[in-house]
Amino acid sequence: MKMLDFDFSTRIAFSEPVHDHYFVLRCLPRTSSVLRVHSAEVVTDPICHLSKQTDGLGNTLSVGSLVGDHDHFEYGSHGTVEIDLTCAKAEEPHALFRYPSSLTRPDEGIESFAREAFGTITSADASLCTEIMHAVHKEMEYVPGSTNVHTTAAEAFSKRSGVCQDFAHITISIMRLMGVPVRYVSGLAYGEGETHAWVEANIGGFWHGFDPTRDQLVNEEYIPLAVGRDWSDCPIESGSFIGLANQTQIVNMVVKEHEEQ
Amino acid sequence: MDSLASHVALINDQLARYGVKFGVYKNGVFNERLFPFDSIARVIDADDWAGIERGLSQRVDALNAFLKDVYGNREIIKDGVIPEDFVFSSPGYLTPCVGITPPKDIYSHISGIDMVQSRDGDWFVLEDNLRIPSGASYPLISRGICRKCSPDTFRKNKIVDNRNYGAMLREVMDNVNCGGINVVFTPGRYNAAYFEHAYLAEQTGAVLAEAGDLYVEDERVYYRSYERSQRVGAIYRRVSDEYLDPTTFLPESVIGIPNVMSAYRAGNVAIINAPGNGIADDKGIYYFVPKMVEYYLGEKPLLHNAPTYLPFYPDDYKYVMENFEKLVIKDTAEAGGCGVVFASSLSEEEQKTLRDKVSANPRRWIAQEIIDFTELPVHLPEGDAMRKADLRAFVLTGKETKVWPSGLTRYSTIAGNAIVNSSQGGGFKDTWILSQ
Repeated sequence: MKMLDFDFSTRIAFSEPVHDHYFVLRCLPRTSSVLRVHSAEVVTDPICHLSKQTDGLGNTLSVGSLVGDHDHFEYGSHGTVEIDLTCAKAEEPHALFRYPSSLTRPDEGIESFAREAFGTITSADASLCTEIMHAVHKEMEYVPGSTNVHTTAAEAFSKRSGVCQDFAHITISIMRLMGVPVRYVSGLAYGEGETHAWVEANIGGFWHGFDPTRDQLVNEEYIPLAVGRDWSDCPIESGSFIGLANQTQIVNMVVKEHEEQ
Repeated sequence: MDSLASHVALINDQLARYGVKFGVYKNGVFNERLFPFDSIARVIDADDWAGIERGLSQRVDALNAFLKDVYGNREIIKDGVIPEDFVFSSPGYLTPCVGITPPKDIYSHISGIDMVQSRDGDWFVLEDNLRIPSGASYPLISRGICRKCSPDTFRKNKIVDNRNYGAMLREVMDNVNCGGINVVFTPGRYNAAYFEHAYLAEQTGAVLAEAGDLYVEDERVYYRSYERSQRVGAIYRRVSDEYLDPTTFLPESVIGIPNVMSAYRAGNVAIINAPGNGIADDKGIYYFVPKMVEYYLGEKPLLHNAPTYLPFYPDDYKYVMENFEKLVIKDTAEAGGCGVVFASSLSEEEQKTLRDKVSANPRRWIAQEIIDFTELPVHLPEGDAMRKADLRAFVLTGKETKVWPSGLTRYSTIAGNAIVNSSQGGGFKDTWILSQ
């Protein structure tokens, strides 16, 4: 069992004021059999009223708007969670996690890679998933800025470079080809820096996390915020505004061992 | 009928003045053209219509039950009636709609069911349209003009009055309204069916709204007007799912209502038709609709599908490959009349290419027997000629499911051509249902 304090924020600066800004945030830790939330709060600047909802995949949404002119928008959350992987309960995965989605659809490149590396394996178990994670990590180079949020698994794989989102999409693409139900996870991981992404595969009814970017099994130092078939189902922020403005973005994120206040 | 035929130029002139137009995108250019009206109505007698009515209501009730099931408990899949990959690998299955139950459990409020009649008189369903079926306004407005041009025709014949469409639609909206006004939400005047949006708003007493007229605040939708904002309880939207809400679907959409999905999820507004319906009118799912009728309603389906094969199943695959040249091959990834190919019309080389495509990805294709469907007389300047025609029936689900006693009969302008989709050219006729 681990207690973690987390604090993250993303600040978007607009070069010109924008208005009629509507957004959906998936900023709060995702409660599950292994994660209990002790405290958690969504923060925005400018401050605005947020409606809390739950989507069909069990993610918590904070829905809000800023109608008047503003030249920046900051969102994030902070709090304390308790994670205990020994408390995991079996959960029937939704069937949609078995099928390709727009960002994870395999192309010939991914298919032939999977065939060569894992074509002879017939058991879709944890050791296969671990092998896939290692293979993706080894094959791919981590290059910030080489892709964007709309890059597909096939595009990133053909360049053999990307960021955590691409590593996760490629891993999902291969795992689904091998018959494993698997979902994308947006979240926070131990340390400082940016928000993170990894995957959870359902093996024998239990969700197991794999982090192809750090090449490690997900332990009690990962805080899921939202899950989906791929990134497009569960972005941490999704917004729409009126105004012609350039955006610059600064992300701050800290996850550390809990300290009594 | 002769009296109407003599007025055809006058009627088409009136339709042009009303702006009954059909917009077509071709090679990236938007063109509006008049949708030619043919004065010789299709006539369906009372007995035949009674059978069609029962069959259509049954079909639409089953489709609504299916939508509730696949976005909820997924029983039909667990019971092995439909293979799960037909549902979950379809682009029509929208994750943001999972777990949302719309007001009164109605997903498809307005269903456009495309049918043809064989030469033996049997009706076959070719396609269900459960997203934004358009076209009801054409027979509606042409009937009005015809009544003016030739009142005697309607006095002497026992033709069921079809001018209640607006009232029926109004009842559908009121039935699911969550508190507030009804609006018809249009993508704007450059949409192919803009004329119809404006017309239906007028007919139902709803407000015609475009992007910017509606906004969401605290899980509720409001209509912006000069004096004060009004709460919106039901949105008959003519904007497709992907453009409906930029914070849920395509972020680049500028014709949507940001955050409208939050109001819908909270149960504060009805969206007509519900988002996510594309899964039920997927060309691959079509095959299973008669099975849905049996599964959900425990009834024998009253209306037939055209005999259909799924190359996904080995037996069907074999049949399709052996009888390729006598089948219609449809691409499930394409909408409307696009992606529909009569294999017999292809050259040997083209046939081979298509066969290879089907073999490479059998799930994507369906094959149908060609139904030799009826031809109807069309009044042309050079004399009457026979043309293939289909019928789009409009089925409205409010407190109960009702079929509008009329419909859009579309005919092909080219002799022998069996594709009558309005985006492929062609014209329309009024559809008269006889009361006895």
